[in-house]
Amino acid sequence: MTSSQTREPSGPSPQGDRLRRPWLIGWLLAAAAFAVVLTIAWFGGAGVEVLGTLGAATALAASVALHHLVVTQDAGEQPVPREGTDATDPIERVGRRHLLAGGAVAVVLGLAALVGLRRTAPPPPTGRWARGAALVTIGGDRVRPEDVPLGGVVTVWPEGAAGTERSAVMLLRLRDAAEAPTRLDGVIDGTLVAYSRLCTHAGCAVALYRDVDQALFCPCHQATFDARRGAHPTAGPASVPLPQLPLALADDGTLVAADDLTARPGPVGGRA
Amino acid sequence: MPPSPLASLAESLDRRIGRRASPPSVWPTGFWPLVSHAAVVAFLVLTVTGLLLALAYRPSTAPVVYQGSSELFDGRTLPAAFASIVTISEDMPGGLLLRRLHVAASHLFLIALVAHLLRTLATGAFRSPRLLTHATGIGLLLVALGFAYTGELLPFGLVAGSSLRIAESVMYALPFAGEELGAVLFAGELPSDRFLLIAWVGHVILLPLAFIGLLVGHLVLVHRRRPAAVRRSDVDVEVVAVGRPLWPDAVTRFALLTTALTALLLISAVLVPWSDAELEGPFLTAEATNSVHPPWPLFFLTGGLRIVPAIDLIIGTVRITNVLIAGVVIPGLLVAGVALYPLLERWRLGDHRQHHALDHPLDVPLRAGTVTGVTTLALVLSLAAGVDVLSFWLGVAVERVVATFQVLAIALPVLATAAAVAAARRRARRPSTTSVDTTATVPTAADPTEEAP
Ligand code: FES
Repeated sequence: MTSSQTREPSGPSPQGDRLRRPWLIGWLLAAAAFAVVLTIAWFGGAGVEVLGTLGAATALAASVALHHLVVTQDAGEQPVPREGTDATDPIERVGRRHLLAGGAVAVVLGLAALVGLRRTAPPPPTGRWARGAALVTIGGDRVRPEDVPLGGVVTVWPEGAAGTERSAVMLLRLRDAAEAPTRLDGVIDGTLVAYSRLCTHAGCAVALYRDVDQALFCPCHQATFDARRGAHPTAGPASVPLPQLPLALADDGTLVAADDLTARPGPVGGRA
Repeated sequence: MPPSPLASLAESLDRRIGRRASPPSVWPTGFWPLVSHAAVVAFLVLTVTGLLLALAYRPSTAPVVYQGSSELFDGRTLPAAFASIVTISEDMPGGLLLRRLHVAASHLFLIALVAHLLRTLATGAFRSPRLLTHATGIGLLLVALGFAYTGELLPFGLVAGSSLRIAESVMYALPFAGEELGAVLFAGELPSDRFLLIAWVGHVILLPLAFIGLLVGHLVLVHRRRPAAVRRSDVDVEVVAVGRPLWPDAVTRFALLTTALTALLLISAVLVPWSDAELEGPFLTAEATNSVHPPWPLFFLTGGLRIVPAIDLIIGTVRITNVLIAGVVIPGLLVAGVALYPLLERWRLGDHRQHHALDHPLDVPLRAGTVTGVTTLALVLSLAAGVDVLSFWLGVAVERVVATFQVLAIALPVLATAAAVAAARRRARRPSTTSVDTTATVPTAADPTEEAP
């Protein structure tokens, strides 16, 4: 910037731009006219293209008028002494004693909040699986082993809790027999396994199954689990396997849970 | 006669916002002030469109049958929140325009805030007497991130469930009482109205109040201290502030910026289907899709969650996982870096003077290095949020893309920091450098008090 920009306050700007009232009023009227048409079109139910264009026209016409004001009504830059306008920064006045006192208060409050939380918080949610719970689809129908084709995935819930988030389990028909560390007594025909659908990383739905390498894949952060081997993580950010739901057959040939999930479904959390 | 209480209140208010006849308020002009003003304009657009949208939105997950002019959703059972979004878009006059405008303005809002922060850091505008101003600015940015997160939950679209559970898992990952905190804030199962109500109250009442309060404080502080300024040849900006008066200059300029940016946002709303409901679909239990991404300002969190290795380290009762590192430690370091850097610089350089002149970004090696390092790390982590998209585009296995980013996330910030520090040192050795000791500069302008009206 140069000193030529530091002008005398008030008066016309050096470019000699004088306020042209007809021009200004003309554009203001144009903006008002567009605004009226916009209002009519708005309540007439016009689409987004028409309304957006009319709105932009209104705003642009107003911009032309305002630009004229900006270049003509210009007091110019003015130097103002800083002296007397500056306060010291409140943060600078914070001394060591304030910091110590503040830190002590924060620690006490933090501890109190911690204790309060641990006393009053509800227990972390778990699924609603239990030994003998029948597996049902989202529609509430019981499931038989034949309902899951090779390479197929069926999402199931415990009967009475279909559609609940934390109990969602996926039933998979593997191409090859499951191996340890899968809990093999909970596998039907050697290839029908069930795992919690909640990712142990951050709780998303592990929604994708890749038949090629029989891997479960979480779309949120690409955690990959080996469905043949106890859904142990093979790549990505998850560090623990998906909980398994041990399966059994009821007398009528439908699938039931042989036990609860092998671990709490969902993210592992920060407690050992 | 003692002055009336009203008069003294008015006078103290005037003093506070610097509007006394003498000295007049000083409004800076040029490009960078426009950036921070653009954030205020975007906030105004967000407020107006947000209030209108709030009238028609329903914060409920109860299933309802949508009937209306959307062919895709007509007759389908949808969560009430999502159905109300479809109704706004398809059946309410001007509703789709309002939604697109709201989303477009949110992008402008965050871009302007981030740009303003980076400029503040790079030029040393945060130094005394503006330490508190900077702290309020960091508060504003954090509130803006809260807006972005809650705003994404409200439509209760397909990604809402994932967003909610990821936030819960970050709570869970905290040691000692994380599970309890998560259980208090997020326990229960979807679909439930509880989370939507929390997000709704936050997005529409608490965050706006916090933002307005911080913004008022920020602006009052800016004006009480007069804006810091770029060095110039005609006056010494350490002792003289140069700017335009509130009326007519600043008011007409701000009004022009408002109408011009509004026109731009409106045109973008015609051309770009910002966040149309049809593009996403409603929340479904136990479902997720590929390319789930949070709003871009939170990419750095997702990126960390994607590339930090699967750690499982148990120390005593504390379990250290990927989520703790990527969701708590790294973002905590980034935020602490930008929030506390001014104090670090004071302590390291022992510089307790007041500064009103802005530096060149390379004037202080410590600052150049820190700002470059923090920015590069945030940038690499943000890009890492797209490892799945990159793997698809490049035809490379996602594991290899992740491994590449793991290297980049460490190498690039280190290299960039080293380069910035080296450049700053070289600049300091050059004789023609402008990083002069400003305390030695003599005011060159004529006695400024004479020029003031
Ligand atoms: S939630 Fe599954 S990978 Fe993160």
